[in-house]
Amino acid sequence: MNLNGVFIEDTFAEAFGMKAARVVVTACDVVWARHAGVAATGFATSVIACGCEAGIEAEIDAARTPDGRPGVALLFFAVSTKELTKQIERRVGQCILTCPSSAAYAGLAEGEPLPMGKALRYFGDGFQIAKVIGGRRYWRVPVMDGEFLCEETTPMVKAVGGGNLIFVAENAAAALAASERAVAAIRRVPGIIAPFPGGVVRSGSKVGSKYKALPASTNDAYCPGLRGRPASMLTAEENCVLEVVIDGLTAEAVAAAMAAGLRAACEVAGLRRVTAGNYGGKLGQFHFKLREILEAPPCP
Amino acid sequence: MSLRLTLHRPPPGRISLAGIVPNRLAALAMADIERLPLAWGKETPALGEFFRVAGAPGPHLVFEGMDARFCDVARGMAAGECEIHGAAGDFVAADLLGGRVVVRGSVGAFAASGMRGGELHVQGDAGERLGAALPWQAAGMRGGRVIVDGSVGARCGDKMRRGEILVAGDAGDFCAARMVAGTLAVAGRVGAHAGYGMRRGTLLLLLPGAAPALVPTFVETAFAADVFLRLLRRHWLATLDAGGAFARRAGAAEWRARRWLGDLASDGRGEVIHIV
Repeated sequence: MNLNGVFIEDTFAEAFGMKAARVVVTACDVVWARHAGVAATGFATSVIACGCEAGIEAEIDAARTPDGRPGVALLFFAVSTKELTKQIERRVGQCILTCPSSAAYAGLAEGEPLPMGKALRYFGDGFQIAKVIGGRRYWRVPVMDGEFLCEETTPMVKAVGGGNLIFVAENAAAALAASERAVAAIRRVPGIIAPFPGGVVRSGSKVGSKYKALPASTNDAYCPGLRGRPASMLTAEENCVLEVVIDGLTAEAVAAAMAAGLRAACEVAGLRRVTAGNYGGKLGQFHFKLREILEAPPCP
Repeated sequence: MSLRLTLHRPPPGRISLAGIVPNRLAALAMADIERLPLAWGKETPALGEFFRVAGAPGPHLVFEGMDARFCDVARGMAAGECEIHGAAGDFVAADLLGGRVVVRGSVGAFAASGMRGGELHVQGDAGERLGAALPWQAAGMRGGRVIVDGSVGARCGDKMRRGEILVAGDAGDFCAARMVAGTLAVAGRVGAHAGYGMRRGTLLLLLPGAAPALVPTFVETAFAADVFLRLLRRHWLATLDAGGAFARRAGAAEWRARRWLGDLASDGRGEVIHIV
């Protein structure tokens, strides 16, 4: 199958069930909301060593936030409820509570509640105040610029992590351009993050290593520096490979994001083929077949 | 479906309407409803002696031609809607658990006392101790929302524990006295000793002009809880009837506020916020 002359491999991306939460952060202006969001979602590219995968889902107009100030929506994904609880507490506590003028709210309507302000209130040393507004409980913690307002809990839902697209290109410029276009399209889909730097990862991995202590190691089959070896998957014209990893609140969102990214990337000259990472289908619950997701109507 | 109870004989004295709530009447036949006993001292006259019963039992109960001698109206109601045309006596919507009570007139003392959920909307005035604790109780209102289009008497919100009381008119003396938590907002004037003995909670004063005369154990803070006020205001504008008396006052203009902390003679974590 070809799309704009780009070969789409008959393969699938293998994704996993994860736990996710959305936190809405507001501040006096969008700059400070973004500062809080960037800090809270920093060092969160992969659950392998970061504890969670996180990113800024979208900026939110003042008219659509709980307190009428500009904000950002953050998504956090982890492999377990326990880990997600820990990550939310630490990241909201260290990066949002600390950010001038910020406030933090639950961003999902339903789900198992995870503690947020419930744990952070103790920073108030007894001067914290609880308020119930519209059936939702908030904590007001005195801080040096006024008070930090934080919703008591934030709902957690089952989600999908590890959707991916692998772009194989003639050169580095084409691979990067295709990846950038894909990420721009992916980020327009609600409920999605691409957690790596700029949404793109160059160090795609395979399961296992010759070193027993490592659970994952470089995806040598797609390293151009190892092209020519028998196990290489690259042809003579393929000189650079980049990957985009996608986490989403639902499988439908991940599929829509992958399709949007695929279509956008395939408009770049120099992109030769698109493939996806999987483990033979035995590890992940979700299989996103590249050719099938392209047949679905584009996300509006 | 709506059940209509129309007063055809004025009560001889204070009569309790405890238990005459939609969630209880819905399961009864019309004849059984007419035979329900009311409490009048040691006597138990049947409901049908005072009210003509019409319509069909369901989630909506309407009292017509009501009189302030009827107390305990909608007391302990758990669900449904209760509409009262005319005045009602003491303990209206006391111990309310859920549903909505609308009084198209004024109510007596201790309305919403012990309320835990639901909504009481009084289109006239409310007497003293709205949402307040009874003398032997540790806490008054514990949840839900009360809206009063008119004014309220003394000791409104006394020992209030949770929920919100929104008063479009004036409030009497000792408003929010001994308040434990929750939100009490007054769009008109408040009497003397507002917030006396307040432990926690928020007393919000919406009448622009001079600062409220508080007891000396309240101290003005440098910070006015802007984010909290934004959240609260947006919640009210989203959930209150825009044409209602309180909503018109609350939505009048962008809020700028002064804030006092107190009562420092008590727990001292309460706040009085004056919208200037």
